[in-house]
Amino acid sequence: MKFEKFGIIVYILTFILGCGVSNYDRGVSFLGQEEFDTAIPYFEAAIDSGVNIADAHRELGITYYKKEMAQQAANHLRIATKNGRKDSRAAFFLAVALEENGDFDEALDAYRKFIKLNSSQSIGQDIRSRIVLVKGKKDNQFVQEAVTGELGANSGKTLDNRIVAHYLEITPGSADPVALQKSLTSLLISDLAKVDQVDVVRRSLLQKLINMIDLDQDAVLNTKNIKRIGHLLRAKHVISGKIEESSDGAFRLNLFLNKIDSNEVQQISTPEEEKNDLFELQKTLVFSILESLNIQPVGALKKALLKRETESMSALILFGQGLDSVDRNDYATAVKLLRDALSEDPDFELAKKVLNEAEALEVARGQDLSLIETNVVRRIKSQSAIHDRFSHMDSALTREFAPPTAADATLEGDAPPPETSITIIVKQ
Amino acid sequence: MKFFRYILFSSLICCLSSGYLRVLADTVQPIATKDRSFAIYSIPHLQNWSVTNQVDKTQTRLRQISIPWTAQLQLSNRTGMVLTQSNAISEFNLDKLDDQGKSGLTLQGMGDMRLKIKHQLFDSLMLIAGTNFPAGKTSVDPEADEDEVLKHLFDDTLDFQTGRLGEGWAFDIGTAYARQLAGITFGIGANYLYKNTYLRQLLNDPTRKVNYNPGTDISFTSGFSAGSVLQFRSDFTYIIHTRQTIHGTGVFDKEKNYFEQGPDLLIDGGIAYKRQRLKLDLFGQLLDREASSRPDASKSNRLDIVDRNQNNRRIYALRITYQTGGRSTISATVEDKLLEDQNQERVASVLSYYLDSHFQLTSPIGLTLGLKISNGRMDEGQTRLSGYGCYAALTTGF
Repeated sequence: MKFEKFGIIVYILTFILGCGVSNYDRGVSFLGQEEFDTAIPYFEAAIDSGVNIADAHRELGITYYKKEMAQQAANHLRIATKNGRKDSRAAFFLAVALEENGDFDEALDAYRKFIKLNSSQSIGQDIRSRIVLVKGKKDNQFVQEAVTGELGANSGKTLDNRIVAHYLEITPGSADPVALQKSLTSLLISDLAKVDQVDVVRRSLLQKLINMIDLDQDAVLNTKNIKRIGHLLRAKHVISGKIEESSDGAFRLNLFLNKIDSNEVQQISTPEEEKNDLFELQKTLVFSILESLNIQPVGALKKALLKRETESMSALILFGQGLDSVDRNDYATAVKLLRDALSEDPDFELAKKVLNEAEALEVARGQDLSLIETNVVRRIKSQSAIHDRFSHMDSALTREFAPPTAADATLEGDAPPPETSITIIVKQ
Repeated sequence: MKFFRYILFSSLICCLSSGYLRVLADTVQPIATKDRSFAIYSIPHLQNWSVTNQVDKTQTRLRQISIPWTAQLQLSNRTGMVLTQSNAISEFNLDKLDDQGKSGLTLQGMGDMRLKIKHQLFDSLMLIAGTNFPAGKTSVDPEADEDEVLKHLFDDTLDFQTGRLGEGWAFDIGTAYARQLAGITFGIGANYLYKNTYLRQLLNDPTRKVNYNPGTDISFTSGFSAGSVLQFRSDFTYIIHTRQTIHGTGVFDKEKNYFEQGPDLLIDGGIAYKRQRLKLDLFGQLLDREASSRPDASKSNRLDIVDRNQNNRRIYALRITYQTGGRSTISATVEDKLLEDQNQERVASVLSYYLDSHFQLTSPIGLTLGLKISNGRMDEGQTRLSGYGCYAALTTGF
């Protein structure tokens, strides 16, 4: 009789466990064994079943990603993450699939979403580096498409608010004219980026384009090339010009507003007097440019524009050298130079920003995406297990603070005072 | 009876696997609130017990309707807070009392409000802090015999959803550390719960109020979990209670040590088989309460006491959770609970069947329903217990 009962129980359990293995479970099993082609129909069947569709889309997306079918992977992973679903595994694989597929804007959004869901600091750092790398890839893609489509039908179209603050020629030049040129341009772009009415092209994008069309530093300043750069970057205006340093150390500005659509070159009026202070000159430059664009900064914007990034010439030169190293993909040197710039002026915020980017790029250069992927998957699994453990421990430690449940009845009881009828046993 | 249990359980399994049963449970997480930064829900419970004494042929009926509500706010992926509060109406009927012309005794009121914050400081370190705001009812009406109802609300056998309504201000602070090594997740943690003195009535003389200091609780826990499809877990929790004191007028002019609860050891563990749609849990829990004492009960002797509410408890349960469709989950649980006194004498045994379910009505709205049926014995079989409970709620999140 006992044997029969045991047999019935085993039969029922086997039946239940057998029923419990769904198409999704089978798909996961085949995915684990890297039998991608076998896993796909199971995940598709799981989607058709209507149960936990988002999970099935996620796993199907991962399967396609592993099969190096990034487009299909992204399609399924988008479904897995839609409606604000907080699925860090899906968010990560969506980001890498989109990156693989060259959809960099969307990949950046997906990476940022993943960072919000991720609680690991080390993975967070890896992904932040990845984001900087993807931004670089996006810029490369943009300039490549711009150059490739230079002769295309839409190549002539400019965007109304877009402006390029081109490198300024510096004569006769300081000890390191290229560094000064890059750092001044960077300060100028940083200030113009504070103005909502203009869409100023980032210096890194400008530099990537210059690298792509393979111009040397002298050719960069050539009027013909300035116009070409404006066209390629679809900018309506390009600022160009010259800063002349006289023998007495005073600076004089000579600025031009290149109108790309009309091919006109308009001189930007600048104050007549010569400046001895390069940092003051840089601010004059910003206000002159804005005036030429009929923009009058007032209030908080004016205050922000007047704020000097640095007043240290040596920090500025080191910053420029750091930028030049970044442009040459020599991130280790860039990091060192930018740190030196910051030791000269610890409040140099723009240098801090570029330093962070250079550090991220240095990390990203040595990154192996498959290694990050392994770490992320392992971490998500481990975090999930730790989260479950925390939940168990939390309920064990703070039962008094949770609403009572059947398994959580009061421990303390409401012990009645001595007069009530309780059993008292005197231990012998 | 055993045959009946087998039939019921087998039928349940058949219904579950066939997907015909459209019922609901306490154990089913309100799925509607998942992935939401803010969630608010209330799951009203009705619990009903009949306690029949077969010797004197009296029947006690106890009923409680509790309306707890919960608000959850996820501040970030590391920080979350939960605010809870319970309201309850409890009724007590004894046929003897009916003879005296009292149809029933009722205790109703609002519970305290509790706030709890959890923050994951690092990947493997969690901080917990909570506070109890004394908004609830702390006094009973002796004229209405509310104290008679209160006594039963803490009975381990009956497991009422809401016990004490109000107490004093309290706070707790705790920490837990967890780490995964070789696929096994280990954790340790500790918590300190401070409960402030508050004015309360003496149960034996409800006209008198004294300053009651419920003491503090210090808890330690450790445990491990392992596996993915087949999961094992075990937790050990040890709780130390400091002395409870009362201070008032008359005999309580000098502060008296009112009660010193012995430490509690809670051991629980389980095995779970987890698939996408199916989860099978087999778990057990052992609560061992060491002897409590009433230090100032006698001037010359330190007495160890056995309070009838301080029983050891063993629970064994089997739970099956099955996702029947894209929008519905059902769960069935069979639970066997044994209560023993300090001399290992069986005080009560209760067998309960739970059916819980959750239906996702629309994207942010879910319907949660549950049913519980219990049968058991107390007092060496002289008293029979039978009870049922149910709940239903709409849950939502934003």
